[in-house]
Amino acid sequence: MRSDTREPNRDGIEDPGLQVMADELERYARSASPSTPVGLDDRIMAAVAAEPVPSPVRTLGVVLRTGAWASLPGALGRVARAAIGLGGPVRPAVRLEAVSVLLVVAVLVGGGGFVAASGLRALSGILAPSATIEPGASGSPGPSLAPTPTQTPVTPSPSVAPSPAVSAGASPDGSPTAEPTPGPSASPSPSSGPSAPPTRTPRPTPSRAPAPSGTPKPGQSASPSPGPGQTQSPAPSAEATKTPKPSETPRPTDTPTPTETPRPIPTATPSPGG
Amino acid sequence: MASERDLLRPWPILTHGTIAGVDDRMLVEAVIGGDQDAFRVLVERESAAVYRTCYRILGRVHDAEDAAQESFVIAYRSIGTYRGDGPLGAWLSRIATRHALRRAGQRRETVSLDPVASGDLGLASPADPAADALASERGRALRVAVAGLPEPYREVVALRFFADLALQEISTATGRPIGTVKTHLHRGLARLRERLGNDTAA
Repeated sequence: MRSDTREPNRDGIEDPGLQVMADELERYARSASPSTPVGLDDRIMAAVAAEPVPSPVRTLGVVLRTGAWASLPGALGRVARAAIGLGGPVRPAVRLEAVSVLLVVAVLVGGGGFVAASGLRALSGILAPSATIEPGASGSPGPSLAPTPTQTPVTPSPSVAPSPAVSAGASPDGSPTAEPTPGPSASPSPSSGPSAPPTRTPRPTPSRAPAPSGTPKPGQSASPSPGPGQTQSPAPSAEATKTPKPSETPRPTDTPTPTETPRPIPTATPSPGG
Repeated sequence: MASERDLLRPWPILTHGTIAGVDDRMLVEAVIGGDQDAFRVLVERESAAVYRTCYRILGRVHDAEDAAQESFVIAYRSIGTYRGDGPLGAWLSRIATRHALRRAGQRRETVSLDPVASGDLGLASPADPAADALASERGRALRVAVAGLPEPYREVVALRFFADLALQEISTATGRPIGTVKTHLHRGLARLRERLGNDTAA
């Protein structure tokens, strides 16, 4: 490790003046090499005996206190080894300490992970509504059969909420109703809402109604929002009476043809059909 | 009980001939495990070098003894910060060097009228009192000049010449690149030459 006999110019000193300085320091060091005093080792051990006995946990504390972060993994590893019992026999008190510290570290890490996950979930919850409103805000036509506030029962369930044709402001309860894909709320019959009370569900009447002037084109959907006294009458086809299941995505052929042009409702976003 | 303690030792029971061959990491793990005998092995192995380093920096026997003892106590407290990426002796020498330099900076450098009584021993042959006095004075000037260097030059110069560490060992112990250590050494020597002037050639 250490060499008392040095090669000349071992340090790569090329400046003669610096080399003279280095030589003088070496001469001084060589001459100032007294023998170790007798009893120095015992004196050192006596001083050390007054110190608290080191342990993996105490070592970890020293590392944390001194900020020697490079030694932190090693200190944690020592604690873990002492807790598990690897690396030789460990006194029971030391092992108990190590297990306790390991448990504390595990709880801290687990708690931190839980808090981080909760925070991420909360952040995603905040950001999600603004992302779903965007299609409705752009005014793009879509399969929207949004219930009007006068006829359609207010369904606070989130499955009904997303319907993009009607902007978020169109719903009286302020529930987001933008959803590009027709969900259960896009069914022609308002009764298809899973949370709609059956007493308020208007049933399609078999009476023939004149074709509406604003019949949406195939592929588009209309928003039948008849008035309170009006009967909502979809097209007199057999498919129109079919109530899709909530899990079933209605095909374009399932889209009913409203028999009546929905009246413009001031609170509703203008739909393609009206 | 000695037998119970022997059972708790992760390293073999040492004799005087095997002290130098003990693995540093094993020794440190034993100390951290609470085995003070393992630390005694470390003391017996490194006390001479630590004491010599302290003496070269402080120039007095009693001060060097105190500094060596305190250095070992510091090492015992912070044994867990030893990462094992270099020799344990170099790590200890760095602790001793820093501690002795701190002590040298705190105390006032005095010239004793009775070097033997004060422990300020002469460096030259005792048969030549004049040469002894000259060498002692020159040694004192060197110590003061090194202790007055700014960091990090002071530490590198002291580790290189007072603790007898090679540049690579200094690099490992301080965590600095070898090129940086060389640069610090050269600049430190240049500042020493400026301070000591032309007396160096003598």
